[in-house]
Amino acid sequence: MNETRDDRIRESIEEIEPAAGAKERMLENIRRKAAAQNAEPESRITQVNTTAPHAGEAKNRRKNNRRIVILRNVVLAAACVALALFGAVKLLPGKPDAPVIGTDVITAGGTLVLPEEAANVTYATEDTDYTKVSFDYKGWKCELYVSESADALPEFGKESEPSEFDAKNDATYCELPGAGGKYKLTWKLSGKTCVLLGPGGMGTETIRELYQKIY
Amino acid sequence: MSETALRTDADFEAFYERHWKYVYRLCYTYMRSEADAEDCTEDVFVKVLTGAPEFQDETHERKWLTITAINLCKDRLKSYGRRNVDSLDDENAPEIAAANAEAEPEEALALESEYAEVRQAVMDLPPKLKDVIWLYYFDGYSTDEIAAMLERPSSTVRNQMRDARNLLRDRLKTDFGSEIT
Repeated sequence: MNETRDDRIRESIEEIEPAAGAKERMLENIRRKAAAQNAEPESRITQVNTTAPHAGEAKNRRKNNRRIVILRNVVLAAACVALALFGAVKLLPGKPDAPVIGTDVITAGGTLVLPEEAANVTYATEDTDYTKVSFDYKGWKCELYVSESADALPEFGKESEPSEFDAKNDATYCELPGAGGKYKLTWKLSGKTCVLLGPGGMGTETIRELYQKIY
Repeated sequence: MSETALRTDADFEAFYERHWKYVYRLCYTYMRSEADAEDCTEDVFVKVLTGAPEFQDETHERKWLTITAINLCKDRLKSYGRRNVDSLDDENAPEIAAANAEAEPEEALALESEYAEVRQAVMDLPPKLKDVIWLYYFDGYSTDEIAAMLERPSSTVRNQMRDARNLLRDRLKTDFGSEIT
């Protein structure tokens, strides 16, 4: 992604300026609208309580109420079935966000081994395009994306100029200023593209140590 | 951080002060008219006052406002049947800040015209593509975060991002040429 173009889109929107006095005018309208909305339900209740319904109206209302009850029960039953199905799918092995036992992770295109220190490992495969592995390494929350094709990986937002990290595996390092100062390490591993994201505070030594332990 | 609600007038005013311009710009990008943008902005903040949502932090506030404003604008556009509005009337255009006041007049004019062209191209995108472009370029979210916010599959968001970029490239090729890939 080209930084100039990214900036142009943002800057062009930032050029939009509300009309003079719009701030105060809108604030006044917001208060007025909110006050009117808060007052509305009460006045409706008062109207219903003080107006006696005709017999025909009462009958229609009972009929409508019965319909509402039936509809509500149907919706509840459908929601229960949907929840049961959802729960079953989530608990099946190999499905997204399944907890991982051990350090082997099956990814899009093969198996990958995480360091022994990796804790709370979960993974999810996105449309078979890539696998996202989340884990803690020495208390740092990290994410590893693995894909057979670099094009299939998600966008991670604005990136700083990448620098070489390890020439052997085409590993490059950059920072993601838009993602709260995260770092991004990209490299090739057995034909797969790996992207490691983690908090910038981890420090290069820990990142390198983690990088060397993933195979 | 613990959850906070906007309990007093002063809380709400501070909240409004923090976000009003952002919400206005977002609404204007969708509604393309000053009056509608103001109306939608007001309605977003009315929802804050009447719904009394509790926010964890400023990021949470911004996310809530973004999604609420996007949904509100889209609903409004549907009800207006205005999805095919082609161009922005001059009388409805908001004030556009002078581009880079420190630049030479000619440079400033060129920059201003470039901004206007980019802004118009973004505003002309279909709403579902505008969502991802706004969240990605203006708010700096990743495609995975956008997918979670908009409750769309990641692959859909990536495809929409590609479609939006293609539309922008087609529209802006004269000025941006190879920059958009």
